[in-house]
Amino acid sequence: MKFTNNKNKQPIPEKEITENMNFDKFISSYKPPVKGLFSGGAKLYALVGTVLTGIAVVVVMLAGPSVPNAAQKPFVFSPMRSMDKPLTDLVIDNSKDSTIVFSTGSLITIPAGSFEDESGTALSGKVEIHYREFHDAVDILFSGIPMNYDSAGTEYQFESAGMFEITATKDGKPVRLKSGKELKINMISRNPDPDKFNFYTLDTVGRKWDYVSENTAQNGTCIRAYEDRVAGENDRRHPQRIAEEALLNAKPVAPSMADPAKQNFRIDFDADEFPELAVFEGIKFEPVKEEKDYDPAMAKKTWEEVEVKRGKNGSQYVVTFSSGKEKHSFTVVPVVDEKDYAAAMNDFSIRQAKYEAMLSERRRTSSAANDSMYALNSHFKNLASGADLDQRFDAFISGDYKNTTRDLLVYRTFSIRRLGVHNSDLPLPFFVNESGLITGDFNAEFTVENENAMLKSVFLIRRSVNSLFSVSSQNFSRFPFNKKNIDLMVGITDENQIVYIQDADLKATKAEGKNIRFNMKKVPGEIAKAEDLKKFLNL
Amino acid sequence: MNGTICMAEDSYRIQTETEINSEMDLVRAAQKNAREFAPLYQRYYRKILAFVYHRIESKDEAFDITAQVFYKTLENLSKYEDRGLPFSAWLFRIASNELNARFKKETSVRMVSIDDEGLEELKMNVDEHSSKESDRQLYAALAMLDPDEVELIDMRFFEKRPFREIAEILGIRESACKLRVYRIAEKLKHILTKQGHEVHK
Repeated sequence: MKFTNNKNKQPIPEKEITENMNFDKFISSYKPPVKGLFSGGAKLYALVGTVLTGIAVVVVMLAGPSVPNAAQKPFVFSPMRSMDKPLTDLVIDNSKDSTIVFSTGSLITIPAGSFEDESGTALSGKVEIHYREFHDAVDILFSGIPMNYDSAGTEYQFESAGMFEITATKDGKPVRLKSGKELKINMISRNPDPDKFNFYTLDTVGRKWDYVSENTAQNGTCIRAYEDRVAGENDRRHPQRIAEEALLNAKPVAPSMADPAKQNFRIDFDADEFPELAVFEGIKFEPVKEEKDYDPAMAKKTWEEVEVKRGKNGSQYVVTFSSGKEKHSFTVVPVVDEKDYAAAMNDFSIRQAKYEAMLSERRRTSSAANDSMYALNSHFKNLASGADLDQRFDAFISGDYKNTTRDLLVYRTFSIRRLGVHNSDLPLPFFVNESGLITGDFNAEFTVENENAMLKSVFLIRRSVNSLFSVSSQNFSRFPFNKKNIDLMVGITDENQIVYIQDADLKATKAEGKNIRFNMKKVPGEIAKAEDLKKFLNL
Repeated sequence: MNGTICMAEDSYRIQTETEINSEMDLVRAAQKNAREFAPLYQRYYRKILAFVYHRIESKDEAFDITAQVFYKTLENLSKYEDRGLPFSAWLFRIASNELNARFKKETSVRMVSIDDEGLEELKMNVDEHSSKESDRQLYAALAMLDPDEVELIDMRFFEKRPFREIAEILGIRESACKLRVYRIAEKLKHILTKQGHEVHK
């Protein structure tokens, strides 16, 4: 991106505008597209074949795993169970209103009496809630939840702002939501867009997604998790500043051995204000060698006021003696006599190690980006404590490749009347161009590190949006591929090996007519968890 | 006419329903016969050229892209439907898509043509005091925005388009457009603060 000032930009001469604007010249150079058999907004892909009795036209929907006996295969089927995100088990008392604060900071509000058993009998006592969330392409991929959406005959893929699954049991047996009861799930989301998403519910019986309603700031279902600044970041009252100051004050100082040739002196200082000095027995102060104006007689004089402040470099201090208008300041270092030196250094080593550990822990749990200037949105304060949510949010956004910060988080508020999978999504025409045609129709073959391989399924991912398109092996001969739209492809082999091709390698893949070959790489064997895979693939 | 491209503010006004309907008559005629596209072409050529040239360094490239925009418009004219919005909104969207495709392919570089007045207004929105140093930092912060966020800021502050027009071009509600601009200003404030720059209230 470049910046320029409008003043410096040369206007286009009128003569040139007039010349280029000539309509006759334009229309004579216009070449209308040649209309093929399936042009003009065809939404179904057609396959023509020849049989003995004539020509048969077979119309196949490119809707993920499209198998002849699809009814026998579960609608939600994880391609690799070991990588599928587990449900978290929580327990509530069905006779009371409950609010669950999930590990990500999502809030699940359950009114009393929400559940009944499958015969319609009301339940009392404990009910087990099973809950999990999906916030990125890896979570979604291994969940096996289809992300294709059909709207009035046009197929889309979902860009997700977050998805969750919630079920319930009592003593291990499935229970359901009572008619008329509604659970409220304030699901945390990294995607702060206030306008473009909608709510959908997965219908596993009808094997489709059902549109529920818009998910927008305007209708109050997309709410910022934080609002209102507290102190500005440079304000000393800001939590970040206070924490930094406390850390600085706690940093151990290594004492030097007193120089017998030099004068040093003791000062009675406030141990609370200088804890790093108070620990040393017999600590004294000695002017630094650069202090030429120090007169040892000053230390023997009685002064109205003696002030000690920390110096700029952490191991030095500034001492100021003053009486009336007379004032002298010197830079000094803390020293101990030779006889006390070994014990003081030993003590310093121990405290230094503790301090380093504390610093590491602080860095791990907090960063300048995450320490928020904002107060938790008052909307949610009655549901959970701010400090508790802060920690959960930090864990949620820690290390995500978009460097999300707390103030960009939003809650997407679902009101659900049935258990199952619910999503906040935007339908995207992933592979459909302006004319409605699926771009790219290839016969795809796969190798893994240059050896032929059998893949069960392939997932096409665009990192910038939480969107993935799944293609099962049955559709590899009609593979939709548009390298403009995706930057990562992940596959699973018949031996359950995860393979991938991305970025430059993907862009460099060239088709030969209708045939295209993707040479995939193996994900290293030590990556056995979804979180490690996310980091590896930069998701 | 002088040798300048007129700015959006000079040329935009809200079209009445009658005007939109009468424009649809022109569209329908052009859908039947490409040569009938001439009135629409003449009406919007300069506006599209201005839109493109605002985002591209080279005028030759701007002419080329503008021609492509009108070719694509003609190619897809059969699919255009009357949704009660001005035809120009669709044109600008095609122009935007064409530009984005080029930026993604890196065959063109996105230029942000800063307007002094617009810059001052943007600074006010991010609580910036005025100085050359703060200009540089603001440019750096702008460069950290997503492309669609830059587009919104550009349209609002440097092209000075009204929210209604921006909403029509982007195909979103006017209220959503305002909210997005507000959110982007907040994001700029946040970036500037992280860069260690003091934000003055």
